[in-house]
Amino acid sequence: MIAQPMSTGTVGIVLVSHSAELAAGAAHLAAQVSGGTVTIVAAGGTDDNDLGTSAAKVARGIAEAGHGAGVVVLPDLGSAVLTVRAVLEDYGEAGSVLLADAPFVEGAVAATVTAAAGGDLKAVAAAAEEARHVRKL
Amino acid sequence: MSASYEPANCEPANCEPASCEQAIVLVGDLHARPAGAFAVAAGRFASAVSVTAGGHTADAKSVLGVMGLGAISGQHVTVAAAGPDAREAVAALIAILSEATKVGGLAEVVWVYGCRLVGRWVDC
Repeated sequence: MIAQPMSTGTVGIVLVSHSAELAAGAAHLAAQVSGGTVTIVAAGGTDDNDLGTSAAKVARGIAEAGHGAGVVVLPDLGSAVLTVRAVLEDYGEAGSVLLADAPFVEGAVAATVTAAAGGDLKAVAAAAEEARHVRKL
Repeated sequence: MSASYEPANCEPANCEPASCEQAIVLVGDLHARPAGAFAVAAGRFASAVSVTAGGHTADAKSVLGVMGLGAISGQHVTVAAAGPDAREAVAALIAILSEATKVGGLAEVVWVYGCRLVGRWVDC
């Protein structure tokens, strides 16, 4: 897991990928683009770092990112959603955690930049989801 | 360099009380990190802010939109804001564009030394 320095008051981001490297790389990229002031936690791979997802890593990630104004969780592929939902069912304050339906890399960057600008939980999740509609070409 | 941070073009002709617009010629390409710094700064203002380059306009608060402009060195970029802090927003964002696109990249210029480099026009 990669944790950027905690910043109280901003929304934290958890990146859930089937690949530990993909989650860590996306977290690194998002931190660089946003200036490194937002807590971004990479929760990728299974418990033994094989391809897959880990409920334990996701739960730790949410706890680690949850010291500010809530947490936005971004899954990479559909089955990561199942893992996140299972974790959120056991999570007491689900209201402070939003699962965003967004392209993984673009969503991570957009969400983190919006969090760095002081956006609230809804704004950060919306920035991630709007990434679907922004053309690159 | 500090003189170039003054929002000279923002007053008074181009600035109504609640709207402001200023253009700059980029000295480097608007890559991911400068676009990120730009969007983070834009997001801290209450005003609506847009950025136009090459005939395309993006929401300055959307980093993906800003990156999607594909603005490159030598291109004219216009920043326009409407709202209570329009003048401050345009001044801050023009300053970031002038610093962040310099050769050598943004990381050393803005993120390491902080927003003080772009003067009193950025509140961060």
